[in-house]
Amino acid sequence: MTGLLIDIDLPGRGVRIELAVPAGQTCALIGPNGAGKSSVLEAVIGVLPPASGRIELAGRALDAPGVRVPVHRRRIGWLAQRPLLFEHMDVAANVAFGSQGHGRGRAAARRRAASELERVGAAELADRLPWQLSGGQAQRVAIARALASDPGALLLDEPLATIDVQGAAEIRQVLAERLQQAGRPALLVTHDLVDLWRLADRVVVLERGRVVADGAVADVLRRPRHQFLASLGGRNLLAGRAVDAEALRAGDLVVQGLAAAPLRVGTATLGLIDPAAIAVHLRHPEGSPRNVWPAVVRVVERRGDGVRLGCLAGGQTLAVDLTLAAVAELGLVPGLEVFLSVKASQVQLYPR
Amino acid sequence: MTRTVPGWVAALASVGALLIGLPLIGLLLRVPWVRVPALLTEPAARDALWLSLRTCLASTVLSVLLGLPLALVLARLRGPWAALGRVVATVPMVLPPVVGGLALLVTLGRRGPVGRLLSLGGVEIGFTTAAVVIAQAFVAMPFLVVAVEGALRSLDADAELMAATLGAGPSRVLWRITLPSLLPAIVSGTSLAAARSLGEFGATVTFAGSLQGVTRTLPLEIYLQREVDTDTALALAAVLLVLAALLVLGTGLLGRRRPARVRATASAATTPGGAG
Repeated sequence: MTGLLIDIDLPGRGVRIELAVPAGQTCALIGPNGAGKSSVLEAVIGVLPPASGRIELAGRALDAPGVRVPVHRRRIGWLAQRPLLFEHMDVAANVAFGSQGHGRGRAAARRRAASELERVGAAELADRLPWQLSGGQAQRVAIARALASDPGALLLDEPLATIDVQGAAEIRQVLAERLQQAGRPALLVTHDLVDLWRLADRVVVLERGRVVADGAVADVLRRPRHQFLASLGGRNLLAGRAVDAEALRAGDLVVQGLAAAPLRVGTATLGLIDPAAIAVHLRHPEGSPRNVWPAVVRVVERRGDGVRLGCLAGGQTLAVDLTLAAVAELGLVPGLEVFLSVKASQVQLYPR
Repeated sequence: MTRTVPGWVAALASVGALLIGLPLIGLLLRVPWVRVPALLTEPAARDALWLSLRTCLASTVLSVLLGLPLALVLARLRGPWAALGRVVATVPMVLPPVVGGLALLVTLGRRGPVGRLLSLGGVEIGFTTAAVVIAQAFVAMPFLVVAVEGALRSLDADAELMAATLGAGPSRVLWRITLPSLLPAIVSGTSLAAARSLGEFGATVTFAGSLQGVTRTLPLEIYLQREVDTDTALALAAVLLVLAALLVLGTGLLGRRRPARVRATASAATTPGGAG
């Protein structure tokens, strides 16, 4: 096959997985801490030799019985949480380092570096030293450097985790474009739903070292099963299509929210709502909330100091966090018909 | 940021400064500056000066050539061998130099196990200039090893891994990533080693003896002349003092030119050397 094939046993880490990522696909690996995501990346990079099994890239064995290709000959690109720029080289030299590693001449490497910097919108940073860059700028340079080395596959280990929200949105955009153009297999480890939605085509859930779920991102977010939800930090996700500049329809639910830029009607769109941002009413509420939906309470369960409700509205399951007092006052029990409301400013909308 | 210290700390600090500074001032006052050029051109003084510069250069080069690889290996070793290696590599820093010289003599000297083998091959080390260089490297190299190894251990291993994923083999990673990052520590470790070589006395006199022009370096000449010809001894002492001061100053200037983050690593690295 032309992609990245992982079929390995890492008994020291309790990991045993089989995963094939075709060329051009970005596969997200999600799961709780300690599930084995990092171990898989380490094995593919080549610092954690599998006890048995094989890793192949475009039909070439990197690890197999009797075969163990060292890190610098594997052509596996790595983008880590930290940019890991070489502090004593300027930005252009950092990017050229990746390009020179594969036998290109110095001048050709410089030209390649300039064009890669251009593509991540960092051309004007070429002469700076790493300590003169912001975290977001440094990560752009790291992306350019990783791609300048022409890797056969890319590993992305929470590449946006340490960058502020605004910067992360811009870099995510850059990364989404570059991943699409690159046409390589890519593995993305993330805890961020937005990364998943914007960057990945496919999502694989790891738990205790095993694959427990595997599916296309669009399908998974449209009909999230329990395993996926548990891995994604408890926000409500509503996947559907934009029906105007600031609203999406998911099932029978129309959701008004905020988008960074006006949505184009018909675009696949994801809405995120914090369970604590949703209010519960026994009668249709008066006043300003843009989103009011009739719903049925399905589940009531204690959660820490509060209560989490599972409600069904317009065919979508929504989690709602309330205080004990509120639950008692409203007399909420499974089967009760209620109204849910949430302000549009509490709903984030992300086009894909 | 200004920090105030209690008065009694300041008082003790003054005494400490005097303890170090007064003898240096006293020496500088007693040096017969006018006659220094004439004194330094006398054959014995000239020989000692020339020999010291040559041997110090040779032993410093030797220390870097062997000490850097030693530091690189020690920093990557794990477990009991690493601990043992570190002890062996740093013992000469705390060992009385005369004991070091004795150890070299009974091992590499004509009747020592290694020396006997060498003399079978026609190589004599004891009481030659080579012995001076070996004695100096023996006491000086640990300063470099400790400085560089400390810096290595605070170095970000992920940066080296990143370089490898970008296609750089182990040697290229070493030359392009590891060594440049270690430069401040290498510079300060080298100058410490050079200064230690220059001042070496005990190991040299025990292992190499005191032959004019062959093994009698500056410190040995100063020791010999201090009763016979105090002025020559003082002139040579002044030369040593100036050379040592230049080494320290030069290192300081080099350190200051680096950006803040790199300098932080460098000062962390020099701390163990300074404490030793």
